[in-house]
Amino acid sequence: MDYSLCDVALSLVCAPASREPGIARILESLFMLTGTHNPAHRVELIVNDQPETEVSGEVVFEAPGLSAIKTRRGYHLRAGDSFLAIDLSAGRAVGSLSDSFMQSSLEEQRGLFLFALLMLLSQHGLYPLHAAGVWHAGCGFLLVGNSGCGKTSLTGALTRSGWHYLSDDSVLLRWGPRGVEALAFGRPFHCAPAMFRHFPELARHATPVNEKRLVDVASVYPGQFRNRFRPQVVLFPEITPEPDSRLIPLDCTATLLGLLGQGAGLLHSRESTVAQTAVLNHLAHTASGFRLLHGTDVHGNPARVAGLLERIANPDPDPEMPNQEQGDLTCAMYSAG
Amino acid sequence: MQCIPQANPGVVTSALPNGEVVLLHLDTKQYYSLNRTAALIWKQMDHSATLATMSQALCEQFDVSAEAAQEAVCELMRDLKSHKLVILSEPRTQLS
Repeated sequence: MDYSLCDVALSLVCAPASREPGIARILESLFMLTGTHNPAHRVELIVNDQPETEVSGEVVFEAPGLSAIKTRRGYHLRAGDSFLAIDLSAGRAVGSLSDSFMQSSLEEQRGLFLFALLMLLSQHGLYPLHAAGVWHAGCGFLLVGNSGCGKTSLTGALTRSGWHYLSDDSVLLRWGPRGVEALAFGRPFHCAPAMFRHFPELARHATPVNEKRLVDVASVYPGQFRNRFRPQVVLFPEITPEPDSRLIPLDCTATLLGLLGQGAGLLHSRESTVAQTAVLNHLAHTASGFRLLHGTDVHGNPARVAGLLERIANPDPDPEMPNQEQGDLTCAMYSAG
Repeated sequence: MQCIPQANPGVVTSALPNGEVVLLHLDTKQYYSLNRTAALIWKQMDHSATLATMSQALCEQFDVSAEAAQEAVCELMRDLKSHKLVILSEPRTQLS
């Protein structure tokens, strides 16, 4: 079965073929797949019943239900008794999915496919960023940050106010003809159950999982999905108890450091890191960066938050360069990560 | 001052249009920002500059004494070395 994911052809091949519809359903539920594709860029997902070979190497990722070992060709992913071996240069993930994996929850299945696809797509110039994306009146906003910083609440509040959404959690970045583009990748929103108190309409479309619930928002807010935009504003949300949300401008260095913190976690090689860093660097100095102190008005008065963001949608592009040519010899180095 | 500092090959450098530089250490996944003064010194490493040459570049850019420039370069190098961002090597001896 052939799909397109972020303009890259994705071929799903299963042996026996009878397993294909079940795996296709999982992929279609989790990712923004379309039926067209560009044959110049292709990745393959091959699921068969081959036995898992012994693999040794550095464990680069370990979480409940998913581990990743770095191998000579890419990564070996293991989720319970299922596995996928990723060959990055061949653009292929090959492995075996057990019956218990196929019967597990969508969220449990998500990690294995997400990791595999992110790694394969990075070979095609598509780099993951832990960010939500919203779009309004010609301006694309990225909401960048760790889980729990308020990305999904903000995306929900703005979408409910009529804005378009790209994602509530992760986007892929790439070079486009006019600069850096953000592309939609994942399909459902990831909502903490507490969120349904403010968004009861989402609860009706939720699929229960362990901690968060997956919500098919296309059913809740039809016609508001947007599959790509050129980000013009980068926001770093932080939840505060204050009544009113407010913005604090960031310079391009602080914006790049913030982007690196959410984009540089899954990197395979120096070459891909250099390419990804170049994309983040361009985004940091072409978009306007802000800390967004996310107040209680996100739920109580989302129109106020929307108005706040509308005011920075077309900021004055006048970067005031700090003049350090006055003999300041302080060599400052800030570390993070 | 004749040491030739070299960027650790495991460090990715990202120069920003405001003159600052962001460094990403691939092994530790730590990242660092250098202000414009520190970035000026960092960029000298592309030209196999010695610490003395770097100090001279600072003197040319800023109205400061040679001693102050040397002290600033040495202090930055100590910082960079402690984070494994640079490798300090002695200059090659000329063969006769």
